[in-house]
Amino acid sequence: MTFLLDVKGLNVRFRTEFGLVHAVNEVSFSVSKGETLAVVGESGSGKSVTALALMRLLDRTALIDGEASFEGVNLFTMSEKEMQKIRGARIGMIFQDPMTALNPVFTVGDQIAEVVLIHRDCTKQEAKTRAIEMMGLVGIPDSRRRVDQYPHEFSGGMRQRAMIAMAIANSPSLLIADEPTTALDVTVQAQVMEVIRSVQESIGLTVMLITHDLGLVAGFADRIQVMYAGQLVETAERDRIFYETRNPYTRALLDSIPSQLGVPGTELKTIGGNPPSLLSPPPGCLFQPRCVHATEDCRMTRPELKSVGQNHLSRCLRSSDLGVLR
Amino acid sequence: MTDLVDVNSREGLGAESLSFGRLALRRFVRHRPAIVSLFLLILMVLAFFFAGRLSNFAFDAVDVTKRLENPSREHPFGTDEIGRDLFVRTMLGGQYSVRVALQVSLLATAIGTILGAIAGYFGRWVDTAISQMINLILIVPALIVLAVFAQRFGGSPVGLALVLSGLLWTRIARVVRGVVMQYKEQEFVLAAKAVGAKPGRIVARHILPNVVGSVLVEITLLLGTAIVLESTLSFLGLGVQPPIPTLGNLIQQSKGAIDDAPLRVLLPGFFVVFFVLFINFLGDGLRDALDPRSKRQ
Amino acid sequence: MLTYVIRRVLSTIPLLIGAMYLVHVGVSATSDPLASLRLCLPRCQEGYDRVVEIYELDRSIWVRPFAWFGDAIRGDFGKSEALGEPVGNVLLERGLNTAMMAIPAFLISALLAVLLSVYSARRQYSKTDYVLTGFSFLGLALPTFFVGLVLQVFWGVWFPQWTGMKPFYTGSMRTGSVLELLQSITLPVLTLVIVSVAAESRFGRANMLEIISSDYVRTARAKGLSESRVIWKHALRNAMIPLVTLWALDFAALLSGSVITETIFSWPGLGPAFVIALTKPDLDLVMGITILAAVIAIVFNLIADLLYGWLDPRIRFD
Repeated sequence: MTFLLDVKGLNVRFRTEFGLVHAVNEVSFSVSKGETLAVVGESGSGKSVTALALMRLLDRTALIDGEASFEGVNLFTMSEKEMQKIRGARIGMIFQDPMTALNPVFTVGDQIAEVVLIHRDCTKQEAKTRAIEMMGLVGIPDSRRRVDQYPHEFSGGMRQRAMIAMAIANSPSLLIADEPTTALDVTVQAQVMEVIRSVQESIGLTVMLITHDLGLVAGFADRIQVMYAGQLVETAERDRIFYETRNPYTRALLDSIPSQLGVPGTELKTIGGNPPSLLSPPPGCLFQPRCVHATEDCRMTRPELKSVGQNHLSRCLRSSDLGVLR
Repeated sequence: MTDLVDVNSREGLGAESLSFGRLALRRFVRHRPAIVSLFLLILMVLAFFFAGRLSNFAFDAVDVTKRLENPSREHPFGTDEIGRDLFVRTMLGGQYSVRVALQVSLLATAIGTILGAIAGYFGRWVDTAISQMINLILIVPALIVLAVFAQRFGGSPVGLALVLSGLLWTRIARVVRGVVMQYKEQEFVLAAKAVGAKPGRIVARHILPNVVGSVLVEITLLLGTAIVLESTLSFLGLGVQPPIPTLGNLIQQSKGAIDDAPLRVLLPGFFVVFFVLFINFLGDGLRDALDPRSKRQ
Repeated sequence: MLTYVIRRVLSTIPLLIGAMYLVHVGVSATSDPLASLRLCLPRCQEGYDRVVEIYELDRSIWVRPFAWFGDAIRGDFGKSEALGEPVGNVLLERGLNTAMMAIPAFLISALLAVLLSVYSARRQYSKTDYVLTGFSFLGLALPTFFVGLVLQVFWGVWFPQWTGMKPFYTGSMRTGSVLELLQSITLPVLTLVIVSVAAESRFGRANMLEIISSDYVRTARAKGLSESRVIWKHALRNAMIPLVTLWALDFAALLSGSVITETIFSWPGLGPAFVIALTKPDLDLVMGITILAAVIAIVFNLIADLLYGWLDPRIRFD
């Protein structure tokens, strides 16, 4: 089976005034055509950095190594010029905060048309027509009029739709959505996810969804991978993550989802403590200080990512003796 | 990523129990240009006030046999057209310039803080009146006010300081007004009001402590502005009048000798430039130390 | 928008009148045009009476400004005693000389400020960036008169000493030929450029750096735009918004006469005329230059606000 995106041994380190920060450590994963992969973790787990590294959008303080093969080419070795032909054309990306992600001084239509104009051989008028068409596709009503409006005349949800329109205007094969709903109202969140799902179906898009919200991905993702402190800790089909959880961190994340039913009297669980310093990580398991199952061994030995079932990997020294966690 | 680094650094230093003041002090001390500048500034001011006493010459002692002499052991900066020692004169000039600048920054800060606080706290017509006054001062080209009033009062250092303060209080007033307006609706102020505290007490005890940081930064800027304005006015002949020397009128007096002894003209100017340069570094350091969110650039 | 402009202009009129009134009273209170004439009384009673009549010295200084306002509305700004010409003519002639210097100085410094901020933003923390930032910091500490003096000393004394050549005039305006004009205008323009570029480029760099790390610039990059398109189109347009105000204030200040630069280089613009007017004092000339400067300041503030609105669609004028 060939993958649309195949990442091997990705490391991202940041040079800071305090030293090197290991933001992403030896992360390997792949995404097949048409599927939806959700990358889940707390803030600082390295999930957004992973996405930005793939797009090569990190600033100069970032050191990236590893390999990312996308449609048969390595994203990390190509020139900046070639990379510009991938961004916005073959890979679209949307960001967390639609309030700040659009340029305030240009019309929404101009910003969508621009991405069409630079990647395709077409006239300004054709690009604008395409922009209107895209705005319709993502459910912006009255798109013929709103194409000439500025971002400040759009609501948060509408801006995120405009961002999606911009990201998919050139029919890319991969859409990276970095926390696309975090900054939005709960009611709008569902609408935006619905838009992503519908365009995915209509143009056959592969989606890499980055979020901290396991509840959000429950109905959306095909596969889930969980990250913690820059490492991949568990990855499997969606249902296996939810019902055959093997990693204590994933379990803790699942337990901290507020119950949809809201049973009165149930206490909302949180994960105590903080993630470890990525400047000088402790020797053993990185989750060990906050883990309810931790043993002396966990403090000394760094666990490897091991197969615990069909297409199911988990990083825990005790995965075999703990079994499925509930 | 930044929040992550931040958390770690604070954990690493164990600094969470430090008060804001101690944290600000620590940040300031770590700002090397500001510390070096503060040191040099103190050195410079000490020199202005005391170095002149090391010389055997008085600032106004004329010796026509030693006109326009080059720097020597006896006269480290040389002598002027009528044989006065330029080292003593420059130091004394620096002293007068610094005095004027200090007086201006104290007075302008006092006026600005009081009027700004009144405008911000009472709002309505009081605010309108004070704001229009500020606009009026800003609309007239500064030099006109300075020159018109300097004609009358500006011959003396104190007079010039008064005139400059009358012009320079507006920036601080605007800063203070903004902060006061921002804080007067906050819970702790409303609480103080609710228990019947008087406006003066509320402003002084609950609101003004919040402006100390921004005002400190403004004061450093003010010191720089005042010394530049003083020297510029005196250079144009509109500021402090001879025989009292200031850095500005020293340049004005030796300007005629620019072809023969150019360095003599520039020397007092260098003191102005370095004073302002150090003051600006100091202000930068203070800003970084007092406003943790500001980026260090 | 027209109503906005009209309302803005109307709202500044009371302020303008107030300012002019204060200047008139201030100058009257601090000057005595009769000082020398009084000494020769009663021999020159005739001249004494004439001056009393011209300046309405028999009336209180608080009502004297009204006569000036009356004449000014009719376009009569009086006669400059110091220069022996109608104030209107002085303003026109000297204003043109000032503009000759102000316009190139403004254009060059604005262009340099943009180029330097873009450069610093693209090469942040490079050696050149550090050097440029250091120079702009030094530039902020330089009083204008000092810059002028240093240039005069260098090009007027040292450079001729070393090379035997004197490529630029260090004082007075010469208009004999284009070359002469260039030779005499270069140093004053350079002085103005050095002083304004320091502040403008420092401000521009800080803006540019903030914008370059903003979300919408990241979006522009994620669209696959080239770095130059990201900077020159998406970032610069936003970075210009706050710069416009600074530019307008700087240009207004330059156009109303750079007192110090023009005085140092003996440039016959509004600046030296103003110093003459103040030291005499020549009341009508002071009033004339003041109102010209105030009007220029008001107009350019308005232009800045309109440009601001044009660059930033979030601003509405109503």
